[in-house]
Amino acid sequence: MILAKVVGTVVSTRKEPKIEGIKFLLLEKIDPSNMQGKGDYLVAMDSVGAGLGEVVFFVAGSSSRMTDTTEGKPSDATIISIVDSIDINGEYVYKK
Amino acid sequence: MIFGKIEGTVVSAQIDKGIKGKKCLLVQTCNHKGDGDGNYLVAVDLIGAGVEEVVIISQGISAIRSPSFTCSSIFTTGLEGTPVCCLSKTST
Repeated sequence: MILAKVVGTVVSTRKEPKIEGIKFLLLEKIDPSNMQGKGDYLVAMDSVGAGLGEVVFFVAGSSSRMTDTTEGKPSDATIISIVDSIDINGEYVYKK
Repeated sequence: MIFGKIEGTVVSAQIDKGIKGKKCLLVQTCNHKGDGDGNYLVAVDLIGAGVEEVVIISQGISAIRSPSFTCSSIFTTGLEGTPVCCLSKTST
């Protein structure tokens, strides 16, 4: 699972019927040692109701098709968690 | 499988039910000597690993479907079909 920040939404009208009704978010991967974005973006399906600015982690590959929201759908990345806190060696580097 | 060093923990209340209640650890991938390479990932801990320990991480379908491919005695059951990466411990 990879840590990322929600930086936007992706809207599409014309798409594969199987992915209709699913929210797509634009994620930027982050480096937890400084909580800065790495400039690496991807689009992920949302299964937990994440919002703009929130730190999340997502699963990629076949795991991303195992949530209730994405089961049997052509997903390659799914947000499965909204992060409350991250600590490194006992010190909080992020708190919601 | 890849080597990783435990750096910390990740806490989340809003989480997919497949891994609810599982401990999530922040891991920096590293070489066989334990030197980190700056890449981080979040992994589900099945074995009770702690900070600074070097572990082996399985990813992708292996993490979900293959509870017996390594160190089978320390893997717990009940993970089949859940969206996870998982950990097993190694000695340095």
